[in-house]
Amino acid sequence: MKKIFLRIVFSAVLGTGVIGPRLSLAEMTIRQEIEAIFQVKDINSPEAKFEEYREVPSGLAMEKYEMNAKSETTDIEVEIKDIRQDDQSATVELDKGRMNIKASWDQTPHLFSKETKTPLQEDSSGVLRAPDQLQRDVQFATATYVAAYSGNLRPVDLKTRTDVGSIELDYALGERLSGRLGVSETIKKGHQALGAAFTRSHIVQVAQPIDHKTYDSNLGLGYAGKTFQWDIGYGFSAFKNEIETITLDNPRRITDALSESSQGRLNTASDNVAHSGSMALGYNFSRKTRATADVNLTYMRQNQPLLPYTINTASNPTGGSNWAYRNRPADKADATVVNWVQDYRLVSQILKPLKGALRYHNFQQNNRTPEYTFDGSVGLDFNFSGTDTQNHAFEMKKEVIAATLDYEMLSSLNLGVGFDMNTIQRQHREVEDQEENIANFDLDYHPIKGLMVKGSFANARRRMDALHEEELVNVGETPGMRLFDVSDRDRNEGKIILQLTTAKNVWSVNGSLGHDKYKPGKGDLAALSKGGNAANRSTMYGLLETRNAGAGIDYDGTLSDRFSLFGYFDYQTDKGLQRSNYNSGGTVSQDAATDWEHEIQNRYQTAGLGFNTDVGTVILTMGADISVSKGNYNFVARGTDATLQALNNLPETKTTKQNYYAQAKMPVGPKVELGLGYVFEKYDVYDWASEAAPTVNTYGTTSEFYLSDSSKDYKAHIITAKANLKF
Amino acid sequence: MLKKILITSAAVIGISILGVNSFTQAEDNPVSVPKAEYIGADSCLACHEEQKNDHASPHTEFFLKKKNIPFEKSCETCHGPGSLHAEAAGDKTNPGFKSIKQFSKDNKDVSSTCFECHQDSGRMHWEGGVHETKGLNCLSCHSVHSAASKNGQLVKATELETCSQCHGDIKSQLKRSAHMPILEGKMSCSSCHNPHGSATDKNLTAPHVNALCVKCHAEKRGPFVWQHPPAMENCLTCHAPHGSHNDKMLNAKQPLLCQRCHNFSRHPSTPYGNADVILKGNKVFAQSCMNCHPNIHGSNHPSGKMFTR
Repeated sequence: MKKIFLRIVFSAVLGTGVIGPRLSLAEMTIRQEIEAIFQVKDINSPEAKFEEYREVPSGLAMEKYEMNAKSETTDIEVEIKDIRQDDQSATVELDKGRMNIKASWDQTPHLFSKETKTPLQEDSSGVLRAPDQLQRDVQFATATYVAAYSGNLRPVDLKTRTDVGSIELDYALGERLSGRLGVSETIKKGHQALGAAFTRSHIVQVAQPIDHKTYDSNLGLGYAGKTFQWDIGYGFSAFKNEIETITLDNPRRITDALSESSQGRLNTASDNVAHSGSMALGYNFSRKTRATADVNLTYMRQNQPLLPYTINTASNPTGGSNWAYRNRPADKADATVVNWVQDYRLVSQILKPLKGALRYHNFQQNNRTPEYTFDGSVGLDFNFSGTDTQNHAFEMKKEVIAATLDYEMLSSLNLGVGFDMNTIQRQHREVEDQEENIANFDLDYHPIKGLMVKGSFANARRRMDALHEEELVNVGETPGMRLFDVSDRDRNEGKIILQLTTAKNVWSVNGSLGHDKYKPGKGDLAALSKGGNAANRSTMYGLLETRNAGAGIDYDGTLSDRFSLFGYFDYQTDKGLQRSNYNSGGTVSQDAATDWEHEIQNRYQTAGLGFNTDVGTVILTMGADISVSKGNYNFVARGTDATLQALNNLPETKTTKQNYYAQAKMPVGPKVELGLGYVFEKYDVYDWASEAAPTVNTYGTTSEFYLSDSSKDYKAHIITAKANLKF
Repeated sequence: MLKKILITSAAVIGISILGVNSFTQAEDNPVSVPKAEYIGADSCLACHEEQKNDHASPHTEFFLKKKNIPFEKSCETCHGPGSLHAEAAGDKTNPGFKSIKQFSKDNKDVSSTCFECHQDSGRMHWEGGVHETKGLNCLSCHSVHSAASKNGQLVKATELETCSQCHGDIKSQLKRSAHMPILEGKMSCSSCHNPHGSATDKNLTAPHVNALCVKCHAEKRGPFVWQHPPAMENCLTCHAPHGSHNDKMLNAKQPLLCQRCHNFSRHPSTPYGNADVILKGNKVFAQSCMNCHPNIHGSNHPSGKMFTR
């Protein structure tokens, strides 16, 4: 990646030599800034969250280097950050005459866990092997898998790093005409958690090796006239995955069997390409009327070879050929989707106090992927099914016609109303035809100088023409299920912001409320004629409603020439109520006795307080940031079923992060500034889905291998000495 | 649908005609006084000493390098000829005092001046865009003379601080345990949104939500043989892009998120009690549903109908 960046920088510098006169540094004013830190940190656990997207280095580190060189005709900016750290980045920008070139390289780490352990060794790219002897011992019952594997775990760094190198060129071809060209390469490498299973009671979570690249390029031409503007663009993107399959050993079998395979194989992301073309037009009919048109066409293609049905060589159902070698309906995926998006907008100042806008949006997702009929499937590489399966090419079309009208009632009061009509048509979903009408109201009020009140309210009604219960029943769902993203819905949401600005203080208060009510709509909730069970009743299942509310206050004030104070508090809550049905036997049964509901509530509080002050020549900043989030999962048995009645709520999940900081900066001359900082960060987490993760686990008759990648509490102290030199 | 299109077309034509007519009636320029003449920056700075450093401002440099406008003419390039304003000598009651363009956050005509230079493709949708219709103008976010940011002439030190003047709730969401690396400086609001307007409702920098997400997550782009339609329709069906309490920025925790649509598939519909949680039952623990259904965005595997392979 460094080579790529150097190539890019070299190209940029060479380009200036080719396109314009060679740069002469002697003619330029050069300003440079360098900042070094010496850091001591103490953290009481190897918790990944502490450095999730960054590196907090110990010892001496180069925080940044900046260089700005200017002449009468040329600007060069160089910025390099976090040098030799895991999150380093560099940017070089050249602005000369008609041309602007920007080359950049940026690393972003994503650290999931520093404590991951797995019994599977990465044998070759994408192949994860368990020790043969241990597989043998477990299969032939000379050892239990817990005993066999507990002592045979190896650590693996569960993290990825994304490197992006890019170069962008903007060139003014004329007073109003400009062209642009951009290329980039994104490389992502590392490991992340992947669920893999051999049977429903045998989970083997693995550290999936990640190694893929994305190449993007774009080309555009734009004209920005006073009356007429246009822009055309073309983009190409290619995704290349170096590891397209994950093959993993089954830790409890060394030989294939009908009941369970010795290996599993999963498809990972397939190589694909996308071409997109866009055109945008803007035209001012007059000073008061303007129209824009946007058209975008994207062609996405994926044609990777289809894997065999299974890697299990013993998968050989009675009367059938071995599924590991059975012919597939095609050798390659041949998958193609074409997205076609059109947007047209007309804005006009109809009369002096009135401004209207009309918008038409059309989105078409045309799926040209063939519909294959597969002889059956071998899910999880063991449970073959001879029932034909057919993929469906989901596609949709969405149209929006929207109108807004803004009325300047007073110079201080603006009112807006809007109405959107949405029409959606789908192929191969439970709901194919749907409409949604949305009414909007806006308020912008400035009653006195410095006071701003902004408010909005929206009411939306989404209705389907019909629900195809057979689509639900075919995949084993109850006919009463309503899928919240397509079901009937009434939505109400409002938001208000008050902002008071005086000469030295800014107060801001905001609040919001939202409610989505999902409804059964058309369609038979019991649907006996479509495979429903006689015990069904007319009850809707799935998400029933969501509510959200939020309130915040923010203050930023200058209390004196030497003292400024800032603080904020924000509270938000999201609540969802959903209904389901207890079932353990595999038959459709949505009878009243075994209905249950879950109320999920996420609550968030963030608060911060701090100040800046001058103490002589020292600038002192102190403050605190605290964020708390909680998840509650309240279970309610709706019926009389004794099993359900005995169940409890799930425990609350909670994350708290506290950050306290103090920083002093002191100039020691015109070019040098010294700084001293202290940060105390405390993180507390409880999550039942990952807390105290076992690596080899048994639960009832199941065997499970997890990665032990859960988040854990930590306390960190960081002391930083900083020197900044400008020259 | 045809009826809607006809109604809309009629409305479009009507508004266009009204708009053109209103233009002819309303084409006045209240801030331009014919008698005013250009007087040069030195005269301006005689009173406006605080702008002396504008010699080195990005606008002054831009004028000189790209427009060949010397500093002497830079003030009046935006504010208009200043002779009458100067003659008023600070007397606000003198009509000449208001003869120059005076910009403020409340002034709705700011954009027309800025767009003299800045009406490029990135700002093509300002008019009628969500920010313009909510009463914002260029100065709501940018400061020509006293910018606080290193880049972009913003009124606050960072893009996030600037946007959170109104979107404080979003800033708060970014502090949730699952978030994108915005606070770490690896992304910014404009990575996904164009504050100057776009053809989409939320000012997205792509024609629709999924097209935006796959710019970085190209591995989710597909197309796949086995598709998960909600994922093809909209990534936001399951994900909260600004931050969440739940892993992977999910709208709800698994398995409860999946159970919003999947009631009965033999195993997930079992309600989970504390026993499952404490003993790490595989339907709730670790990646929950994705322990077995990892390819939930789509699969290319012949046995991948249920996204298990």
